[in-house]
Amino acid sequence: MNQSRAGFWDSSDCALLLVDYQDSVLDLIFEQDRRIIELKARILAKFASAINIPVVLSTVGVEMGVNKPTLPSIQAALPNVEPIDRSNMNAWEDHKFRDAVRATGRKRLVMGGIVTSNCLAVAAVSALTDGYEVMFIEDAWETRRRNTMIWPFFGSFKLGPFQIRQSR
Amino acid sequence: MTAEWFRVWKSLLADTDRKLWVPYKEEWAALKRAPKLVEPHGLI
Repeated sequence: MNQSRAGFWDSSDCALLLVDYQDSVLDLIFEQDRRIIELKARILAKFASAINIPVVLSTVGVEMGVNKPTLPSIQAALPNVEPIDRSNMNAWEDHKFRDAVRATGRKRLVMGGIVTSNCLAVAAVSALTDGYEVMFIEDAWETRRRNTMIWPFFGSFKLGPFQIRQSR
Repeated sequence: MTAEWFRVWKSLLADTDRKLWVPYKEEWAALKRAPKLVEPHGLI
């Protein structure tokens, strides 16, 4: 990491983690236009790919036959990224996922995921506990119902230039 | 992202950003003009 700009996250510092952008998970979203969530996650994936930020893509329940794979548009934006399928909610508990993150060599993680209160939050907390710095993409996530979000919990996250606040 | 990539306006990254950002804004604006929300149903 370039210490002279420690307050900013450089593309060479961080990795992008996209968790559970799947049709069957998107079906749980009611308070945001699902097409916008898909669009923002897709553009984020394209941006990361364009400037060589390593991306770790993960799904849940595909091999079990429970859920559908990553949204085709997002997968198309990341043609060289193989999704890591899991059978548990917390991506960080999956050793393949953790190994993939470690393999990026990055300690700053930019995370996006649906539904946020489960798939993103628990993995983010686990990553923080493991000593990573974590930011989540504020407008590329959504949860089942916003009034059930644990906002005080999210208040403890480090936020920074990866937010695109005005877009929500 | 924009903050980082436009730090140096003449950088190659800024050009990459512009190529992706402009169409994204147009697509996003179209969706915002005609939002489509799904009513909750079943167990949520």
